[in-house]
Amino acid sequence: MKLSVRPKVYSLPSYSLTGDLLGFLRCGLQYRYTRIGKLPPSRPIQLWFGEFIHGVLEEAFRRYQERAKKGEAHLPWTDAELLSINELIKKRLAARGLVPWDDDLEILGDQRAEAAIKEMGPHLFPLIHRAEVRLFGARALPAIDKAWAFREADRYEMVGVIDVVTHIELKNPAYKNNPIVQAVLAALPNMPVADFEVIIDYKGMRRPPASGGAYWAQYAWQLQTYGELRRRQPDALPVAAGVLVYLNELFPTKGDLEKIKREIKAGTTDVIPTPGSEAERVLQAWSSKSKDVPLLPFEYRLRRSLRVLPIDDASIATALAAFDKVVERIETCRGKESKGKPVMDAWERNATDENTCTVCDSRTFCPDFQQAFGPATGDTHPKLPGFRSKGP
Amino acid sequence: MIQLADLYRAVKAFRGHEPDSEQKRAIEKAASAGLMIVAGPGSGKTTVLTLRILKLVLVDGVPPPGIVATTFTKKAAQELRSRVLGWGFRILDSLLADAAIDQSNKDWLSGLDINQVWTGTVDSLCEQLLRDHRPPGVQPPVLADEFVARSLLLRDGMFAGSRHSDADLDTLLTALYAGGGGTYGYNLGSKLNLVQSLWGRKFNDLVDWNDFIANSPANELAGRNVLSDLLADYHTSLKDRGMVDFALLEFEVLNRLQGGQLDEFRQGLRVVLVDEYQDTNLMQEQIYFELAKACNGALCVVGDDDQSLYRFRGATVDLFRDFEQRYQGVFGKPAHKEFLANNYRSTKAIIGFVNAYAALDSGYQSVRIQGKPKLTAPSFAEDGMPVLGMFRKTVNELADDLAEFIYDVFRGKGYMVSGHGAIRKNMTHGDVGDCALLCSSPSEYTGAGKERLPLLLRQALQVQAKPIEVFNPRGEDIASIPLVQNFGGFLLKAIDPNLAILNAGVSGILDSVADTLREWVDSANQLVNMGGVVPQGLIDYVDGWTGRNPGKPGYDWPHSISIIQLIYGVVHYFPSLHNTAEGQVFLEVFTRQLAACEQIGKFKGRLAHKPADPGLGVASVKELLRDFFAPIASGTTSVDEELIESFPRDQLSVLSIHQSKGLEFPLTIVDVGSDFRADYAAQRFKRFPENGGPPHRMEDSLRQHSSLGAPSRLQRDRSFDDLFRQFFVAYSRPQNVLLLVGLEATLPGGKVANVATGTDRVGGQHWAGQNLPFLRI
Repeated sequence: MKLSVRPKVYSLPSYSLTGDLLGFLRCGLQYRYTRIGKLPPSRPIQLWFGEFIHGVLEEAFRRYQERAKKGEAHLPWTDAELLSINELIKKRLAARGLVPWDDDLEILGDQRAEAAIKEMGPHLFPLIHRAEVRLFGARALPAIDKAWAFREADRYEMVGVIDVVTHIELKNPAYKNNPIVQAVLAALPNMPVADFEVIIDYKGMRRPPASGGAYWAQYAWQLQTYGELRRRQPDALPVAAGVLVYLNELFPTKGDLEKIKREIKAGTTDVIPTPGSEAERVLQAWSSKSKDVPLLPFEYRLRRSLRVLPIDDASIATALAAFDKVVERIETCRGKESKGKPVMDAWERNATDENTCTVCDSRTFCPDFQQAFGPATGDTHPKLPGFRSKGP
Repeated sequence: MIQLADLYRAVKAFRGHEPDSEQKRAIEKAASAGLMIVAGPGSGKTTVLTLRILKLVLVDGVPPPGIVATTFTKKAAQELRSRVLGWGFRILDSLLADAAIDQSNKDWLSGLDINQVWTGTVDSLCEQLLRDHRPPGVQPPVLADEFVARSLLLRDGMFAGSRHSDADLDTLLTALYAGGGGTYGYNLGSKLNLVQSLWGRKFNDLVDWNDFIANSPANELAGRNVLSDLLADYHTSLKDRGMVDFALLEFEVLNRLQGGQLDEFRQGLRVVLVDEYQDTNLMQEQIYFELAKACNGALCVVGDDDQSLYRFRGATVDLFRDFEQRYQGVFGKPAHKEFLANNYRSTKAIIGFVNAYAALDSGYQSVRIQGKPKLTAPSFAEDGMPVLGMFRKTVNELADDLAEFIYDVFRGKGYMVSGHGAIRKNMTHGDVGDCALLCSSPSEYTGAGKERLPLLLRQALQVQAKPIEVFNPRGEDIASIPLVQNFGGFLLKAIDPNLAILNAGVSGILDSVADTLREWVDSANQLVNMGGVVPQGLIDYVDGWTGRNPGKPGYDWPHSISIIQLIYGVVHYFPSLHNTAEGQVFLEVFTRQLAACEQIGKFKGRLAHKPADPGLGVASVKELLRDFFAPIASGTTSVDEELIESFPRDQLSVLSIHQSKGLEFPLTIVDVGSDFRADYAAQRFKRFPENGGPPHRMEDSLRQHSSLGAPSRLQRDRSFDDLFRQFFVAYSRPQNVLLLVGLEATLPGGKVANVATGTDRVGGQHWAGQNLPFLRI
């Protein structure tokens, strides 16, 4: 008697836009270790900060919404309430083992949270229709080289979570002077329909230079794809635009100011101060040798924090095609590994940003890092921990 | 909306056939109906669930976000989701191309988003509900992993006030453990298991705890009070950390549903579907009923009472068996019942064997769902090879012969069965992954350290002309894998030089575990002593940690340093850990256990170093030894099976019968008694119980204080019921060939009574002599 062949389980792969697709684009090998292999980073600085600021904004909005539901007038946030929000989120993260790397990071987190809630919140919160909107979509699974094909599936599932969906009614007088609405309208090529949606995604980072860098395009693809998945949901209005909010811009550090000045001088940033404005004056007057860090006017900080991306069929198609390509690359790497290739050969080592590599726990054995930066950084082998002696 | 005929036409277009008539009856019931589907093994349960969901959307017009479908495991949820999406899109494509569908319906179909159907486990549903629908100021749930939960229960519950040695608590626990019998093996670990089960059942059975205390037998009252305090302290410990365990997670959702707090979610709900309902518990049933109240009782449950395996985790099979009455009581209308009995998996020979086995024990028949039909084979099913049995005098002999059998089938010219031809793999795509060995436990060693069939078979397969690997992630002892030993050894050398602290004694580490840790260090030292094998860089790096010396003039060792840095430092010198898929799985065990240590420990997984206060450093090392190293060395923490490719094609899978639930293999080998050399009393609970076990005693103790009421059957009978169900599951896994293996002592009519080989609960032997239902090989 001939045995039959055990039927393969029909299982569609599921890819999250941020965790999987953007993670792979940052570095395929790092993605393999941290996402697929579930290995934690040894220095989760960015992870804590990103989760903290997202959590704080979400909680603040829940409180704002609760008051609105009860018909209570929204009073300015008190320091005590801000503190309670921050502490709540810190406790939540600590329960998951995420703590700030040091006191400076924690203080900076508090300062950025305060700027986001107190200064941006009054403009953003009234526009919000829903927060934390889960998205799902299925797409045809791109074919990969037959040599590496390893699964029975014809589609993949794409998942994501939109931080905030806003509903904007152009006729509503309350929105007339809203700087976020104005920024969106200014960026749209055509006047949208009267009521439309804007998708907002918080980024716990500074605004990258517009002139280069893969992230500039990749984050745009992310929002376009959110637009596609969102517009299929029953409660969606036409999706006119997406906005990336670079939260670090709301409270720049000294290092951030130095970079802004450098980028303005080099012409690599797309948001420069209005000639003759207060922001221009403050930046010109400030020297990096100065101990103090001036707070730039809110108008300029908000402008730098907002990146508006019009969403239409063509832009969505471009983004989806780009992400399909990423899925094809990931599936190829998975196929190679499942067919026995060593992990480091199977996975793309495609990092383009030095910062991705300098905090990577694989840097001492990653051939690409070693070739590009190893000897210069001295990170050719693991270093013993230590700190500079304070003396006797 | 489309018509049923349109749906079936689209299904036929890609599957080649429509569902059968009994499947159609289940698929077609009205969306608003209460529906109980009793699905026998291999009867197309997932197919029916999938097509019912798609029928609800396409024919009944239920909006996809209004459908919630839960399954028992994440894997099953992923499979169901894949089917709903995969088939759903194919059906949509087919309908959109169908000339018989009018344009307005096509426009409607184009706008459907079937991704919005919710699928997952009940725990993931609860987690999402508490995360998405929480009021301001309320934390989303953070689930404590199994090790963290057990550690907190032990440390903050049992050790607090020395409750672990409390005589009153012992009275209570030994009664559950042994029921008045001997207390061999009763130790701290078994106490912890019992307390953890009591905690779970308190919620699963919705026990009225005040009544449990107030109406306690006099001899247990003091113990129950100690238990209450213990559980309260554990609860506080979780709360202080912002954590919940699975019991609390579900209980919180039930409370909120009953308190009307999740109305926003319920408003959109239209139909609830629940898979594996035979293993549900009272708390989960109440959650499903609360959800179904929001949709006028549109609740469809699917299961098979003969396949209920999880009593020991709090499941109550009666909830499925009595579903019709319970549903009527809550919703005031009758539920429909449909049977799926057409088995599309197995040969006629196997189906006949399974039917006979289900009917073998007359005492079992009264707990089965009334009116349940026998499994039937479709006309096109093959008669197939008779069921086979391989029984040998010793387990070593059995392992050798079984290895040869497997080798002949998958690497040789086939295994000849006299009068029935050869059993051979499929020559185009067949491989040893088409075979599985199912056991009560896949462990390679007994609790006393004796070698078991899974280990001996692994060894016997290794020495075949073309060695065959074994895939047994749950049974393999990872602490004895050389890569784990060597890596762990170097970490230990760095943290506890010369094992001075371990050797001085660390509370909470068993002697056997300490011995394993010493073996790790010996293993690492042997590598170092071999000369030239270990890179000098690794030796220097570990020496730096040993001496707490940063190796740079003008630098001091940090007062506190996370061990994750040491792990990644040592990984640099272990290419197998960072360059092979298998190594990654082992590395993840270390990092996951460190994360657990961070969550529960005073030192948060860090090594303290304060020259002025050496005691601090010692305390931090003790914590790492106890909470980081020991759980890996003892096997408490094991590999994450989600990281492993399931059932590799070129390896023999060894799995527990519980793990095999829902799976099928062309050749299924069932271990019915490789451990049973003689009629040892200690093994009777696995083959012919004299009494109930702890789960049955716990039911008797707790259910009388719950709306479930005291069980109507004796403990011993429930114990037999569980064993018959276990082997019913095992025997219904094969597609082509079923092979029973064991020692000769457990052959029908042998000296060891065994329900798996034809003995019923009154001692009647049904398979002896002429009635032997298998062919011996």
